[in-house]
Amino acid sequence: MRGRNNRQGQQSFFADETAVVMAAAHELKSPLTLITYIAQILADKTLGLSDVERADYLRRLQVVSERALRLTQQLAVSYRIREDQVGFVFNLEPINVNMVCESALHELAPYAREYDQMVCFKAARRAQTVIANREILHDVLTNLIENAIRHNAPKTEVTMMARTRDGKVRLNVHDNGELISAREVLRLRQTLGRSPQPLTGHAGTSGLGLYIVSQLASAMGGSLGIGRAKRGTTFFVDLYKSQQMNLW
Amino acid sequence: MSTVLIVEDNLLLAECYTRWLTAGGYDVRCAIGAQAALDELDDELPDVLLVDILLHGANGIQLLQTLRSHSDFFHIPVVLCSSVVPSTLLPSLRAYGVLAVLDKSTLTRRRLAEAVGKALNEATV
Repeated sequence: MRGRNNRQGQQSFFADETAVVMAAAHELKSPLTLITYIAQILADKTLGLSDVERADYLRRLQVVSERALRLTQQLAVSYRIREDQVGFVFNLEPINVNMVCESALHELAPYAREYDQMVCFKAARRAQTVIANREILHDVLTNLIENAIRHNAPKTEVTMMARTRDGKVRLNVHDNGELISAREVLRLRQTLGRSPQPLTGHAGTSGLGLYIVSQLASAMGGSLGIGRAKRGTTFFVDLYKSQQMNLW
Repeated sequence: MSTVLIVEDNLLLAECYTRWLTAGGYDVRCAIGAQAALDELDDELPDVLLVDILLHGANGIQLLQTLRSHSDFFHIPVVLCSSVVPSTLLPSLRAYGVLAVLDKSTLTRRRLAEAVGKALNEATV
């Protein structure tokens, strides 16, 4: 019986692994394709780019490369957490939520501008502290903001908020994209944290980003959730509030 | 001057195609999704459609199905530009007016110009 369970477990592991690898390959194609196109445009002297246009393409090259690097970094951390890799130790400590939100916002601002969007952070009057790892929380937030930017309508805003609730701090990332149906929200709730789907027929819906966020949040004792608003969707992460005296 | 309508929801990719096609002497318009494409088509008919498959909302295939059901749009030649549709599927996509399938990940300015030019030529024959 145990042998059969092991075999089933192994099969499930390899199926998950294949899904993650396929989704990662698909998600990485987009920034890498863009990098190739921009490099072609920069090298093509017959296009007669002005210095300003050349500088603009170089800036975009940097933004797109950073996106690809973020994804590979998050995939690596997610894999190490999942495999409980020996030697991969991270500290959980009281973290000022405002500082990490501001830092994630600062990092993603150029990416948002490329999509004609803004990211804003509505900080609570009193800074909140959560039990987390600074780098991993930063990865969680950048991933959720990037996801929101991709689903947002141009010339709109992605909003971040932190609110305390039942001994936990909820970090909300809200987009103003298409309103998704209650049924779709239910489906998403059921699939959060499960293996991504490599191909779904729609853009940006492999679920790889949310799969990674779910793993990273769990590693900090938190959880990922989804909510529906009048306009757009909110993804949130609940983390334990630190009981340490707030020095900020 | 022939007009190309690009249906692509990645603004940066759409801008790269626009740069290449404009340099090739085409008039270019862009739609960021299937619904925006239908709105553009209502305004003015292009000579060629360059369509991505994975779009937010209705996808490229759903857009092509809609286009085939309208006699006004039926004749517009389509070039698919996708990272998920192999060119071997071209014969089965011809029913949707698709005259070329381009692989996004290996696309170059020359390949894009050739495919759009060929689609225009085939459509006028």
